[in-house]
Amino acid sequence: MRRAVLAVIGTVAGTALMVGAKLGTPRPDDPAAATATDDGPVSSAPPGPAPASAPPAAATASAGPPAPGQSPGRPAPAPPPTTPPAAGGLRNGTFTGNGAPARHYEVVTVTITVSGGRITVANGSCGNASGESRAICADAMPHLQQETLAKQNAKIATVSGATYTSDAYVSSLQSALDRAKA
Amino acid sequence: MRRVEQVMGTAVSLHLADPLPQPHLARLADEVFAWLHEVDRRFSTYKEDSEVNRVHRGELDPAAGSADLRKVLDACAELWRTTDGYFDAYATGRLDPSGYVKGWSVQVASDRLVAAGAGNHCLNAGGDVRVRGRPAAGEEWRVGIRHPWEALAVCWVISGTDLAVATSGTYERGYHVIDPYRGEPATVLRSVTVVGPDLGLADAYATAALAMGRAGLDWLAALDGYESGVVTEDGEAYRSPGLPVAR
Repeated sequence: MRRAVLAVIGTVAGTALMVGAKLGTPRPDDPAAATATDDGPVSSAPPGPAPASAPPAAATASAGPPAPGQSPGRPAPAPPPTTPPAAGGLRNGTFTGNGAPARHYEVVTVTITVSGGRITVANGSCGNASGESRAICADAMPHLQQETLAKQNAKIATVSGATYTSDAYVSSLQSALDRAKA
Repeated sequence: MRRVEQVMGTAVSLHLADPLPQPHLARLADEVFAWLHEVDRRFSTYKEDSEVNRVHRGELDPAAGSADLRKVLDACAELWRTTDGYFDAYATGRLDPSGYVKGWSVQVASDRLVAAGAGNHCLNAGGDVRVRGRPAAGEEWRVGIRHPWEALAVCWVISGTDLAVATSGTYERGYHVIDPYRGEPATVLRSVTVVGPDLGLADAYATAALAMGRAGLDWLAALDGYESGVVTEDGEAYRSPGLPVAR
């Protein structure tokens, strides 16, 4: 992997959940930021004097659209007191918390990527959590967003799709493209 | 220069966009297809004498196999771990690394083109795509994601200058991806597309998520460095916020 793994930090599940819950806020729509795992400033980071130690508040699990079957809007649990980050803000790099058994949440592991002093990517795992713990944990994790299935006939160079057989290629969109541009 | 050849049981389309002399481009294309045919000979489960079949029959010790064979088997073992066992080169009951090999071989071919000075190209092996550079000055490669019910339409258009785009789906060859935990075909997701830097991984991640069913949505959302778009059998569409959808 191309991530720079600089350190492993210990954490507790509560903190980890907050990191996950806040994902919807700091993770911008700009695809550049979502892949900005290298060291260095992120040009797409929101401007302004946001504190480098944490993304803005509004940390509820409803930050992103909920997946079906999950109750939206469940607030993330408040984090227990933890050691604040160094005064200089967050160091650039990718950090993985040790899976932490804590209170009701069983083992939760979260990996965050810090770039330009901000959390740009946060991934989590709910470990062996089950039942309500699992539901709370899952709500705090990043989701895919649902949208309407589109049907487009756009200008494209090529097509990605399920593998066609040599025979099926003949009637495929890719085949039409290849013939049109040959 | 464009060329289409039948390899690995599918059609492979190559577009070299660099303004190099025609004989030079033809030689590069020859090398790409020679490599893909070689991979097919060595890794296909359909070729009696492939390295994979010799390992399967116990005639070849993987440790004594070629560097490529070891690389592929190591990658499959690593993917088995990183996908919680859902990418399983033994899911069908025998060694079959096809879910990684096609994407990997296309990635290798693309890397070689870059090294050979042809950094602007599009290589599509049966729906697994690696694009690099630009099709023309000022343009990005636009990769359509096939609509899972409409063969001649697309449901997303991805654009960029350095993308691996892999799609696993049930609409071409039926329910062919096995959920290794249940030992039965995965039927909940109709199409999974994964976009990222490495086509071998993207291909394997797409297959793994398809095998996971609905749980694959959360698994994909948590992937680092790889974006995704999913269509369920029910016709629901999901995508990660960072999917580079063309405007």
